[in-house]
Amino acid sequence: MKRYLYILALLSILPFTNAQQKYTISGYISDIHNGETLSGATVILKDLPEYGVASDSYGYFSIIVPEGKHTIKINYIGYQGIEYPVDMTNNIRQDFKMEFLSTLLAEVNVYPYKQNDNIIKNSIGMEKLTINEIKNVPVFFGEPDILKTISLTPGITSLREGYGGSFVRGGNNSQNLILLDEAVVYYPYHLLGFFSTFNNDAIKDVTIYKGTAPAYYGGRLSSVMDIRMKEGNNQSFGASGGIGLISSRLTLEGPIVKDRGSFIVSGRRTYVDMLLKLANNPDISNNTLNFYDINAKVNFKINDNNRIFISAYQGRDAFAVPNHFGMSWGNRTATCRLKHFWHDKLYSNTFVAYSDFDYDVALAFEPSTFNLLSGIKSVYFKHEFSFFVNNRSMLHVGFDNIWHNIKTGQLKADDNAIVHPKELEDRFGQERAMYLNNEYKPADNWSLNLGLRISRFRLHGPGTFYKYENGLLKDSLVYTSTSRIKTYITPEKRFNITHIINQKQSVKFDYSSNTQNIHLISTSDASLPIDIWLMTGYNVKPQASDQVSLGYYRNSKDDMYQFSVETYYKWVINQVDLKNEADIMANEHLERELVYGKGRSYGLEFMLKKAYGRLYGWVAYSLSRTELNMPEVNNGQWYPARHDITNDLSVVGVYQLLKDLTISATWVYQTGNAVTFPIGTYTINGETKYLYGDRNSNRMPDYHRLDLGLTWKIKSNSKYDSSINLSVYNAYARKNAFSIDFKPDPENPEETQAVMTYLFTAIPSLTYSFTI
Amino acid sequence: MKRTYSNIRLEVVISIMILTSTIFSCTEPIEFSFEPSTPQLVVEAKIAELQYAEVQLTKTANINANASDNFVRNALIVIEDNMGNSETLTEVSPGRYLSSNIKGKTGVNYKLSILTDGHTQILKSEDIMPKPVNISRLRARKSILPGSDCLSLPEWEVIVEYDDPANEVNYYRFVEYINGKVNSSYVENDKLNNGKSNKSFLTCANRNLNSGDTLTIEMQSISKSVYEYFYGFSQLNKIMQGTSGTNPTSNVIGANLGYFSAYSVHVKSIIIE
Repeated sequence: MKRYLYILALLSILPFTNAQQKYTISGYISDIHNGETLSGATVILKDLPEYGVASDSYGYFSIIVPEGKHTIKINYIGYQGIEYPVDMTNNIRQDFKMEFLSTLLAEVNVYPYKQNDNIIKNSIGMEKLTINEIKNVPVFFGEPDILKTISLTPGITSLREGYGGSFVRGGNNSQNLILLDEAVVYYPYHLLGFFSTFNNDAIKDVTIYKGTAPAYYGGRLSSVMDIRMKEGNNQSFGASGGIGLISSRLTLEGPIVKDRGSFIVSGRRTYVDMLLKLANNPDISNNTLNFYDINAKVNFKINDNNRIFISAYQGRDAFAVPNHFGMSWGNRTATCRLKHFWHDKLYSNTFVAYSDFDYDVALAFEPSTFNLLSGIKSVYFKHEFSFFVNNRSMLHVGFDNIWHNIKTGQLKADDNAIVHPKELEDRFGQERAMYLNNEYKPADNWSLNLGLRISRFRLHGPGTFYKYENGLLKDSLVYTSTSRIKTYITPEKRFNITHIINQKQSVKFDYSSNTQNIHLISTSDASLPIDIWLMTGYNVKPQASDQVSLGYYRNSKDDMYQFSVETYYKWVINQVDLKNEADIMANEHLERELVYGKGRSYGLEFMLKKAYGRLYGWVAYSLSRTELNMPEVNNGQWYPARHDITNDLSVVGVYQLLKDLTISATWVYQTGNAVTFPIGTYTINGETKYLYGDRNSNRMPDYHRLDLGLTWKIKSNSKYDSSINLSVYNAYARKNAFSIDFKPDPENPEETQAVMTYLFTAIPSLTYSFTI
Repeated sequence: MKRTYSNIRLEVVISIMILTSTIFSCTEPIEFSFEPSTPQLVVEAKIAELQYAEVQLTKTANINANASDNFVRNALIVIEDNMGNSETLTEVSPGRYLSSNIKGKTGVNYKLSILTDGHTQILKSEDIMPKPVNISRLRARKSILPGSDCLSLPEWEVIVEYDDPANEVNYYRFVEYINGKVNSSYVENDKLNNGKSNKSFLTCANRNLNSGDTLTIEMQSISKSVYEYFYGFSQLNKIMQGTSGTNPTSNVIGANLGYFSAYSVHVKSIIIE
């Protein structure tokens, strides 16, 4: 361990050995109209192009420049470049404001930016999408959705509708670290996974790492999805919103003090239940079915050295069938971040964050009602130093600490209820990590990213804890609240090397290991928010993964065409699943109902992107395999995971047909996922039953779908913008199977019939949007 | 499907399906080519209170393959109890074996051993017969669950009322007959409602009841291993598995498919008005 730290420290200090006098120029890069900071903007010296850095995720940059006169060049996707002359005789603090190009070039809404970020950045298995890029991609019910759109990139799969979730490089749903302004979102979906919890109007961008994240992220095996909320316009007040068939949204933003602070509040509410009112059947028209989201964020520059950000999110779904059933679930997050500059090359971020997720199911049984409650709560503290050592080295050092409280399950019932009340013990745990990450360029055409994260998980009392052996209770131990029950320490190593062959092509290699101590036990095949969270302990061991990736990147025609091919191999251990016929209902011995095993996945991912022009978009293709090995299943043979999708192809195109008219299309094709169909029949007690063979040896029918969109700008001037979006989801009405069931043919009970359930065919939608 | 606590998730799914199906969701039969399989032995062995032991041995057949004869003949089947009685069952019709002396008694531990013809398979199982629990009331009523064109939801609810004994762990299996023909079966335990006066709502999607029909419920008190076996066929377990099915875990050692159940029973019938 010490050896790693030593090497990292050494690498960061090495480049200090310079003789010539140098100064630093640093500052924020932001949008001139709304003050939103721009992350990933490039800053280089025009005369000495080997001097170059990029702004960090908060739009801040710091570059060391030799003494004398230079011109600084700043570029960012979709924005007009800036050239700024400087005379370096001392350290300079200078902020830059950039102009969004489409507002300048009102003639044609093209994206004339020239950027080879994908070539030179030392990130492999990474995608970044901004709201501007995705807002024209056609979507379900006309709701632009950043999680849905990201699944159109290679290596990220979302299973057919109703199954929700993002499966990244063979990982499952619970192995994604989904962060909203640094706070974990535990269940990022609404309404059976048809919508994500991220309201597009409040989101600035998303960065996703497919298991290759730097050491300042940790806690999940498969991916990090780092979603940032907008900061709000710090120049002028504004309102924007939209009215759609099933939902409406409204956003207000403006400066608190111009140039120093701003706020944004954004809300979204669906009203599917309004449509239900149209139904003739009163049983249906009285049902409740809706969700809402509220996002809010405030940021304020206290002085040049201190800036504070506070953001919060709340969203909730509600379903109810009167006198029968009710259910609600939702997430809440809150983050407070203080950014402090110690020096123009050294700053720190201090975070305090809170997340929770809970669900409440109410069932009415004459003469009473009872409820089932469950949830997870977490409180975070994180402190991180970022140090621009020099133009070749950027160091992040920090630690984080997360306290978890899992409400495993509670049955709330009164004396009249048909069940007894029962409350399982809450579980408490703590995740703690220390990390060091160094982005280092030993030479102009070589770039390294070295990281080490030492994570420690500890399960705390109070409570009764059980040990099982071969499915039998072996020991039960009672602990007090000060007891430490089980501790696991895991070093996680991250290593990335990039070789820039030239400005048009590069090769990258990555090795990353990850560990995960919060496990999700999925209790249904479909996407329902009624799963159970578990922590590592006596029986459940920390999940761990090792992944190697190799990629080749090539751009052509002024970086208009960007091609990449990446391949990976991933090993995972200590995977958890429920055994057959598991008893999961308010069961204090849930851990006895689990089986453990290992997994592997490998694949090849291609991406061809046309980054700008009247027509832009991409083609993404993944060829992959994901397999599991559990001693209890298939006699210990490897078998395909449920979400093993062999071929996954997405084509996304956006075309500026006229000045005010944009059309777009998305086509998705996936091999059907792995399932087990019956291969024989027999009768038990006069009822027909089916014989099943090897686990997941069959495939669902292939999935494919075309979505079309059209956006017409009705009015566009400095005071008021409005547009109409028309979209058709599943335009050629493909009946994609949600499930296939087998039963005796009603006409001929001797014969077995396969019956497919599909959720919908073509869904048109219309949305009116405005900005004031 | 029963509306008791243990089926909450099922309720959730049904309710969500109702709601989403009001906007979308449809079913249709599809062309499907079933894969063939090697025939496997299926054991259905039971001894009910005051009844002779009965064992049916069959083999699985390929789906839609016009299976002609799946009976497993000439097996040597011995049942013994913990009171020193033992008996070889007689094959009374192809694949169907009966005892002629030993009759089921509550509290007795039964051991079953099966030796197939040609000694290719040796199977063993053991089960203890629990005490019976009586149905106090049986009724049927139109379901309050709203259906839709595309979603076939239970039209009728059958409600079985019984008093669960407080001093023991109970497992039940309800077998539903319409006009003497088996329609469906359900399992339940008293983990969360031990000692309560229970109402079990048997809501079966493909139940077709008409005025004048005789509805019979056979309430079996069964052991834990038999409960677990039949739970494997339950709707609830199916939701967990989705389109991927599995074979329920048998309590017959050496067999992949089937069960041995020693159960006590109480039967009640009503005529639908």
